[in-house]
Amino acid sequence: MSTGSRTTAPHRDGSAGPAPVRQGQPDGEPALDPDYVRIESLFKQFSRTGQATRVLNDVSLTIGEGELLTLLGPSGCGKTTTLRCVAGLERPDSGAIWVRGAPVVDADAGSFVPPEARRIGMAFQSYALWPHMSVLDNVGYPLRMRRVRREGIRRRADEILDRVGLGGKLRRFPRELSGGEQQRVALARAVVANPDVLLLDEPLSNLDARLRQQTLIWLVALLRDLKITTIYVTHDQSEALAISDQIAVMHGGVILQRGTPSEVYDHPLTRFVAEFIGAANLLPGQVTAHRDGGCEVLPAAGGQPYLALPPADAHPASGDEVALVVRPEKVVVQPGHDRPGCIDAVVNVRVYSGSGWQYVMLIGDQELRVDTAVDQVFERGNPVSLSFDGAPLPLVSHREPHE
Amino acid sequence: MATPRPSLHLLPAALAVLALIPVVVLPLAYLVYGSTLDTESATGAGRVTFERFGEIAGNADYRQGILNSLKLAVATGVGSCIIGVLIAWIVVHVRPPGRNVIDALMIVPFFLSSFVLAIAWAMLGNPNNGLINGWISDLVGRDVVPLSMYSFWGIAFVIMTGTVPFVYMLTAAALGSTDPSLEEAAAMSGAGRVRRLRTVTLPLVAPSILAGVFFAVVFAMESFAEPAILGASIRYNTVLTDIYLAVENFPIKYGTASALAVVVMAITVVLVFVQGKLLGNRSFVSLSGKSGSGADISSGYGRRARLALLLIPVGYLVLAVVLPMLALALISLQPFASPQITELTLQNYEWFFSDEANLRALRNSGITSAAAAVASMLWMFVLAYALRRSRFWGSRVVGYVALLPIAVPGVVIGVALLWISLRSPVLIHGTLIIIALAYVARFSPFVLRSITAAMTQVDVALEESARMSGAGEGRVLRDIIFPLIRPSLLSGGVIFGLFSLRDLNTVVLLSGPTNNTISMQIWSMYENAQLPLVAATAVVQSSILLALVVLGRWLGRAPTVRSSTVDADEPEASYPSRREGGSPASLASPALARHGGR
Ligand SMILES: Nc1ncnc2c1ncn2[C@@H]1O[C@H](COP(=O)(O)OP(=O)(O)O)[C@@H](O)[C@H]1O
Ligand SMILES: [Mg+2]
Repeated sequence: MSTGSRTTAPHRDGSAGPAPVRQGQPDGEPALDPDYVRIESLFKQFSRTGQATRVLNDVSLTIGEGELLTLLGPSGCGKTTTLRCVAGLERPDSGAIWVRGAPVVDADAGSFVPPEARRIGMAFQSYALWPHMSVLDNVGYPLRMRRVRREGIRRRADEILDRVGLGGKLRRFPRELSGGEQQRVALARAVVANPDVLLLDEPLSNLDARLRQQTLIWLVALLRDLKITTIYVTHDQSEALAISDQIAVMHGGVILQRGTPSEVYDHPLTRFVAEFIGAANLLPGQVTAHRDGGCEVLPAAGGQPYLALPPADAHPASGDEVALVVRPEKVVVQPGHDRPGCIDAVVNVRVYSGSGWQYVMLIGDQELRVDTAVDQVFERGNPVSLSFDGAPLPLVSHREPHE
Repeated sequence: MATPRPSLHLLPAALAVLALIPVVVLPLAYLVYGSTLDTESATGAGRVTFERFGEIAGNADYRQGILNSLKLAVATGVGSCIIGVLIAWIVVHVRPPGRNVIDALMIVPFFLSSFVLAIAWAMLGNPNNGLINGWISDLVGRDVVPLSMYSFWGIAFVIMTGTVPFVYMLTAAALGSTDPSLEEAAAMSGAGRVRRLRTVTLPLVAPSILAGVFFAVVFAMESFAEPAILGASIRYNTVLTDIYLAVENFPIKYGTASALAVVVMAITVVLVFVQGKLLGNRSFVSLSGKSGSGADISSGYGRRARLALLLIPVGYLVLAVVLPMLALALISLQPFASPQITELTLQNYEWFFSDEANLRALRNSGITSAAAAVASMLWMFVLAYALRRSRFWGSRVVGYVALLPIAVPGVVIGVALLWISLRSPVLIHGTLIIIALAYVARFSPFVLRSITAAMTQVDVALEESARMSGAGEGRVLRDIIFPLIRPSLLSGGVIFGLFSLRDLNTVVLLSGPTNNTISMQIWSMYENAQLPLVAATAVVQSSILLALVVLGRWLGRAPTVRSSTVDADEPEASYPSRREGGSPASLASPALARHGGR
């Protein structure tokens, strides 16, 4: 989904190294700042009833100007806390954040810009619309705070509300709007004053599944249009893949990987990233040889060796135990056992998904998720042979490094 | 949810916290200190001993007084539990015609002055020339005395008419907000109507019932006017009448009064504490018990049964409101108190409005109540915001101290402030200042509860989104918090005004000829047995109270109710404790689903 001109090089280790300056800027236009928002070594812990839990553990990130970066991770991993540190609603225990080159918080130097002075727009997960104000008053409030005159407020609010499709509902009160409309008012309020940075905390999570899909498409269009530097928080990987220029995968207060959606999907660095994004199968195997910059891996379940690509910082030796990342749609299924180069398995569960079948195959006692086309019908209990498309396959270590 | 460390304007917050010291802490500390002195004088120096408590324990009269208070409390608790639960069950489950009217009227007994009701019942049911006895004698054609309100049961009955609403409101709210599917599930499991009531519905609402009963018990422990009015002629004493007499009769015994006050305060504080634990964090979603669809499957009562059961709430309202108010009106329109209506006249009202003493008392009441209410609203607003924003060491303690006076009987507050006023270097004894101070000390917790309940409904994200929009802390307070809690602040203020306008207990020891209030005016006229004048004054006072209730309902309305989708039956000038956790629809954040953990 990334537009070519916005793509930055991946930082496979998730560190905050400067992204290369973008190519192909036409003369005369200033180059976009690749370090528009810089988050450096955030640490944060909450103590509740005397017991301290570390929520952010050395979080570093950079977001390029006009870029949309998604913080993706399971619930409770520290995404919101990171976002609130950028907003100024939370103070990090240590670390610093720069916006447009100016520090907004530097815990070690003790400097802190209050949220109201940061020029950051934020849409809250609960929308947080003020129930005593009309739609117009809600959306106009940030402008009022910036001392825009009454007519100016009216004009700009009209404009932005038209843009989000709420032109006719200026005088309504929040409770008179549907959930989807409230969400759009919240968004309008966040962007109305042209903030430097837009923060979105799970903006779609309170919508039902159907509406979420529609709104997602609408939101992609809107954000492309506005070209505001955006940090988007979600726990939904399909949302992240659809909307982001860059994805930073978080887990347990740590950023595991950062890259474009396709990089994160096709080249997961860790078992966690592989499993969290796209529900990959992890198939244990052994390195048998090295070739073409990758290595040959023989699945423990048998079959043939597959060419696999290890993460850049990993150098597995021959004989090492590793895990192959096999996406469900990359599995080729053939009926019967004992085909050469294939792995024997048994059909355990079959579920119809409309566009095809979802299977759970059993290799011995290991489960493997498989997606197939509609015409590939295998009955429960029948023997099948499996092989994998799409070599080189990604490869991750046998165990999670910090497990 | 964590907010940035408070950079909040520290001075007002600190002042609000510190103000608790002179208004609450110091008087109560003096009270406890005074109870341990070996002198009966409020101004003299003394040695600290604990003999006073031994003396009380050794005095049969005082022991009896304490016992009588406890007996009244238990009788009131049991009685109002039975009647309150019964009426709640009838209104919510049996659903007789007119249940909405009943539900609205059930709050009225609570707003009337219990002191005035006691007087009304003395007029209705005294054994000598009570109206009811007179009417019945006329009926049977000879003198009979079937009814005497001058008795333990008379006193308990009058207190109970005021406490039934507590139990009713909490129970009805709980019954109304109980998910009907719970009872339906029991029905599908094969439980009949009685079994469902016993095994599912009652256990679910039991904590609310218990909380209401505790309210009733505390209220009875704090009642002073009822035993003082109805028990005087039969020498029926309670702790509070003993305290009153110890200060009012010569030789004045401040020490004994204080020790008795400490004893009764210890009891009520424990009761309120237990009650708070019972209520816990439960939120009573709706104040009028009719929220939700009710348990529909149980409303299979025939029309006749529903009409018959309607008699119970109607009967209660007649006894609690209609009959006493009618008696007052009747007597106020007669030249002298008599069961027979021989002559109707407005002369008592003419007298009321022409007598300077009455008007001064009315003015005093109005000025002190209004000034105290405004001061209290301002103070409690700042305090509530400070408590919301800061988690400084001991902010919980501050919260408890601020709410403590809710558990202290008015007469006890009166004794405590007597110490302050007698020892104060500036003259406040006998002035309106001490009266206003007493109101603030006694009734501010109700305002605080009203505000805090509203503030907890304001999602922190509403403040945070204002900060993100560029508003500083002061702006957030002005643009977001204040408008959102304004209805609760105003109705808290109206309740404060209501309570102080009708108050007798708190000021009965502080008020004299120079700082007379309207209740005190009634009190002294009653001592002089000028019944028609008393009745006229009581009717005037009750009319003012009623006007305030209406005003409160109007002010308490949500600020932006312009939508037909909004529940119109929001509670307004309702009892603040019921407001706690009650969520005015306008204050709820648009989407309540917040992510967990915070
Ligand atoms: N104010 C707080 N006090 C205590 N714990 C908190 C607070 N805010 C967040 N946490 C904890 O920090 C962790 C991360 O929270 P959060 O950043 O909200 O996660 P996410 O947004 O990724 O779901 C959670 O375990 C949460 O319970
Ligand atoms: Mg979150």
